Amino acid sequence: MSAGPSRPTLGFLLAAVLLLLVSSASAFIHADQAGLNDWHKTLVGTPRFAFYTRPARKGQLIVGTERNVLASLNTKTGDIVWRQVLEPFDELKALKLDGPALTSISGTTALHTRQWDAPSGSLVWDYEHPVAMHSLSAAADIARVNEDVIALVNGNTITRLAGEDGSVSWTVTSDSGATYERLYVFEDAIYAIGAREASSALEICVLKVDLKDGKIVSEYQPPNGHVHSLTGVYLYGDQTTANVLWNGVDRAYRHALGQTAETDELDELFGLKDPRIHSVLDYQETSLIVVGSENKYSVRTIKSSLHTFSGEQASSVFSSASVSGQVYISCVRSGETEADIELVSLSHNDSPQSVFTASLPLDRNVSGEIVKTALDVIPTPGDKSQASGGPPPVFRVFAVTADGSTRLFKSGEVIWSREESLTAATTAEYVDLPEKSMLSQEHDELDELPEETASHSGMERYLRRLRTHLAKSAHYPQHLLKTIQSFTDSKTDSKARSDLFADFFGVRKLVVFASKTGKVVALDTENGQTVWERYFPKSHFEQIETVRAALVRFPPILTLISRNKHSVDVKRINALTGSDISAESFHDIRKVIKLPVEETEDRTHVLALVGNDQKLYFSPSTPSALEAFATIAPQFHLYLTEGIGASEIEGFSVESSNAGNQSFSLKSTWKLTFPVGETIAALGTPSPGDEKVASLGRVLGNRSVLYKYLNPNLLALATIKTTGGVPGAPDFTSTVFVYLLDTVTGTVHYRSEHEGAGDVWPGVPSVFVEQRDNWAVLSYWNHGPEAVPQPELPASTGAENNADGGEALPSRKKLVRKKKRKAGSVGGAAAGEQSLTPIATPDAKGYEIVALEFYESSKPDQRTDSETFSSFHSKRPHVLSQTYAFAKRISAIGATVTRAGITTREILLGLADGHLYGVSKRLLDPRRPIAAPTADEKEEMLYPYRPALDFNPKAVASYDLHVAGIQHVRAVPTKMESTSLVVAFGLDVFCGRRSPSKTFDLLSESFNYMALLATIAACVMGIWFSKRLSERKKVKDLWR
Amino acid sequence: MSSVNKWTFDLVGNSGKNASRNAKLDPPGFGETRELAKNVKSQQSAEEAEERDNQIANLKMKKAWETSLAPAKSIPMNAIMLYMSGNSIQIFSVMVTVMLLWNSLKAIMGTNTVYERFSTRAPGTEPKGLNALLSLASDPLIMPKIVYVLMQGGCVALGVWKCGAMGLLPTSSSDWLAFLEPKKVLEQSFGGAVSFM
Repeated sequence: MSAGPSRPTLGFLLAAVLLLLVSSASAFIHADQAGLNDWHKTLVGTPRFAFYTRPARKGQLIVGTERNVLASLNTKTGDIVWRQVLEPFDELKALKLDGPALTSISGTTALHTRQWDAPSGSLVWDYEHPVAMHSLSAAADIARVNEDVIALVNGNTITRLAGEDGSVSWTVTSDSGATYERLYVFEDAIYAIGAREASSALEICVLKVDLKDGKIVSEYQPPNGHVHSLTGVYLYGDQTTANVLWNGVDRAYRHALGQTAETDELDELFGLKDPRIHSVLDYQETSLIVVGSENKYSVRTIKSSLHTFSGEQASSVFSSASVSGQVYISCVRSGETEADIELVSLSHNDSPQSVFTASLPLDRNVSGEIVKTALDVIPTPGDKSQASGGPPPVFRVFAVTADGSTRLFKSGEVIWSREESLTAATTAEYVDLPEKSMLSQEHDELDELPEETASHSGMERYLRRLRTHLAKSAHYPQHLLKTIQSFTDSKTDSKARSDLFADFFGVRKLVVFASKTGKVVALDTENGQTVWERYFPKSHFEQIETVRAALVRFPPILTLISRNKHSVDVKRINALTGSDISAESFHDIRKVIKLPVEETEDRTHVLALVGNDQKLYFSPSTPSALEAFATIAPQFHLYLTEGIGASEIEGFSVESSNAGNQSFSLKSTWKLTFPVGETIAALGTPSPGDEKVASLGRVLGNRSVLYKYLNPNLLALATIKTTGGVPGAPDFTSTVFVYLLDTVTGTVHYRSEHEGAGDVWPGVPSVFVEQRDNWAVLSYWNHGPEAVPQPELPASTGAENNADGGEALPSRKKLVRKKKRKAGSVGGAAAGEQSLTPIATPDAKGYEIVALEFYESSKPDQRTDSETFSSFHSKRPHVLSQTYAFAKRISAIGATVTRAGITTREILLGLADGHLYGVSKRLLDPRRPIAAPTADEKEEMLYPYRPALDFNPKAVASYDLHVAGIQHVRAVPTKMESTSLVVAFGLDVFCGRRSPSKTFDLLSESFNYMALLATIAACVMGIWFSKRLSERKKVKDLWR
Repeated sequence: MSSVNKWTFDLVGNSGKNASRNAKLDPPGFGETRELAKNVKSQQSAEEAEERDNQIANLKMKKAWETSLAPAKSIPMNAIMLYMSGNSIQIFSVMVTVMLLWNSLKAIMGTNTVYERFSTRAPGTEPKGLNALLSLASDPLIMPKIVYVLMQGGCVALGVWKCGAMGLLPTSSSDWLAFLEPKKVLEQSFGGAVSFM
């Protein structure tokens, strides 16, 4: 709400509201409200590593996931026992569980080997490998010898670390150029298996290192060692031999480690036709090879075949477990609606046999097939004779499905499941639920065209309306009862509702997540429960558009846009049920855009697809869609950029050609190439047209108005320019530039530079832009004066600078940074002027937030008088900016949206330490006075400027919850002006409400409806009683 | 009867009219005096009566002018009150202003009632309808009435000025901000990053 003096008619009201606003800038909740209007899903990500811990009774499942999370799950409930969230750049590369010791290797820019205590999840020790920066992408492996950890990192370095404290026993580096990825400890040596580039494929390399002193014993390439990738290389060992097996370019081979010249072909060795190794299962003493031949899988050791699984086995997944001397192997095959599991027991003395087969409920349309399993068999005490007809053992299978979600089966039943696919969500979209009344007969009437209505006679129409109202009135007693109930019981359990209709306050919606794994999940914003879920194989969703809102009788429709290598799939689904409506596929598409026009047949929004051939395609590809587009084609403009890291942005307009079929092609109108070295670091999104702006100007203290520059085609973006390696390097410099760009004309309306600003570390994005209405907010990390690029000083001041010599840096520190930059600094004259006034950076490193606001004029009460706004005739906006230091690392940025845009906005920051934090726009206001506020500024209720934006614990939207890894923050308005619904996701999902100006349109939870009703009743009674009395008195007086 | 000296008291006589009355109880000369007074009135000449009427009319005009100027006297007092109540929007300042405006407006509305008692016309003979309008010009009270309305208008002006000082008048551009229509945007631009983060 625009603070300041009020309009005459609303004077009182506004004063009252402002009083409310001033009393507290941030809305917070009480302890007993936690969890009432919000929910939080703690997730870990799709597991890459999974281990069961012993004892099985207090079973825990240790997982290491693609989201760099180490976690322990309760096998009974699926709840997280503990969770260690590593940074996104601390990529988890290897994980090994050995007793209570959990060892991990992680990192992309710095490699760490860490040991964790598996039962508690606490860190035991951490060792950072002193390796060069650049070859860190290689896989890593861990082996354990006695208590010690052998870590293979960087593709060439093997280090032995003491298990107790992580101290280095020895470290050895191979400089042969091969990249090693696996470790195997056999007898007194460590074998590292890797590969090096050969002519057409990779060639397997073996490195033998002495276990005791870390000396390289030998390094060689076994014969026939050509492979396509290292994933086809397996290690096998038993008591007497250690082997490396691989699926070579044409056939599979075995090589016994340590025997340089020997390689056997597997067809001869196993006596199978064209064997391909499927997997090698490990357990304590020996390994088992699952080998596929002629569409059948068999389990075997090197020496002998143990069991052959029957039947056609296209997508089988195997896992093994051993308990009290017996080995079990599970084989899971996914079908359409269920998965078959077969459990085979292999014991030393008996012949192998299938002990259990079952069908697991698993819908391929919901979760996809099982891609990974982990088997655990629970020992049954005193019963070692399962093979001889005893009851089947109790076993658990932890399964990872293709969509990324996980579930645990216990003896054929799903015990729990976790929707980990949400951690791969790339985008989310809110779906408004249909109004109940919208589906009534009444809207059958409202939905028809005027001609249709005219065709009915007046009497008929009247009767129809009467019928509608009668039908509605039948529900009235029930409705009344409910209303009364809600009065008496203020905390009505609305969470249990299953019907999909909008609630009175519009806070119940669906939020649909689409993930890059092909999973689409719709959650209820009231309680976080899954309403529907779908899995689309081979899809990588990156965009969802609501093409039809819940409209009269029609269900809302979502369009899911999935991008594969060459094609873009556009799938239309019913947003309330997830069922398919239609699907289209396009080729060579650069960008999909939702247009603000509807085609007439289904009343869905038209999607425009921009092809690589500079043509526009439409979905649905119907003539009516083409017609709909033709109406807006003259004013349609387009801008495209390759995104983060690009250095260009290009604008297009549309040309229509009527040769044969009408078609539209793009014509490049402008192209902006950023100066050398600048790449896009963050892109804002121009405010969508349907977002309302309550006030067109900002009222100042003296009742004059600064008119907002409201240009929906204005794009705020930030570019970054760095030189000289990593932060801290002597010649490292970094600068962030802010651009305000008109995307119709390509005009740069504003450019400012923030010297020393940038990403906190390469690979840790710290530059974010959020853009709404007439403002933008930018955040970055300030590297301090050391990272300021050396200005090219003119000759006169250059001499002075030389005199400083080595002290150039400290002298610059003293300078005060000029925070505000006038618009149009790109111009040559302005640039010359700038180099004369050196600009310095505060001598402090930290995160900073810049608030920018755009106005039509620098002077109040000046407005370009026009009914229309055209980018071609637009004047340059007046831009105000102010910078604030902020103490926390920001990982995502968003802003609240309310229905009419009256409520003060709140900028929502996803913080790296696991909070969703709201900053009122009144704090991020570039008009905050730097000097003592004048009377007018006081009247306007501006906070005086403070360089630091304090962390206010009351403004944490996620209160004491740890919402890890927030990457996206999405807000949507509700029917209450005060309240905005917010979903933050990334790793965890948090959904809650924000009321930046407090819930001024909602009675408090503790409002006593009973007292109100009682008061009204008492008043009515009193009036009735006194009326009686007064009547009696009147009569008496008349008789007197 | 007219020949009877007016200073004559018939202390004994009994005029017969009041025979039924117990003359003993009346104070001396009581009955006669009443009758004598009637005689005095009728004796007055027409000139005298006219003069008296003029006098009364003048007196009434004088009073009417006084009434007209009375509101002007209250203006300084009102001004002081308004000044004292301050320019912030509070119950007291608003009440004072509203009372001032309300009273003045009420007074303007009731102008005719106020001047009724100064009218020289016999009650019930006021012209109605169009005649009232025509007779306005000839009404001697028209000037005092106009002045009275002007004076009350001065009070209203004071109140309006006060409203302005309190910021309750829509005089600045910020007051019309809510009625401004947003500009219609002629071009629509779409797009964004081709690849997603």
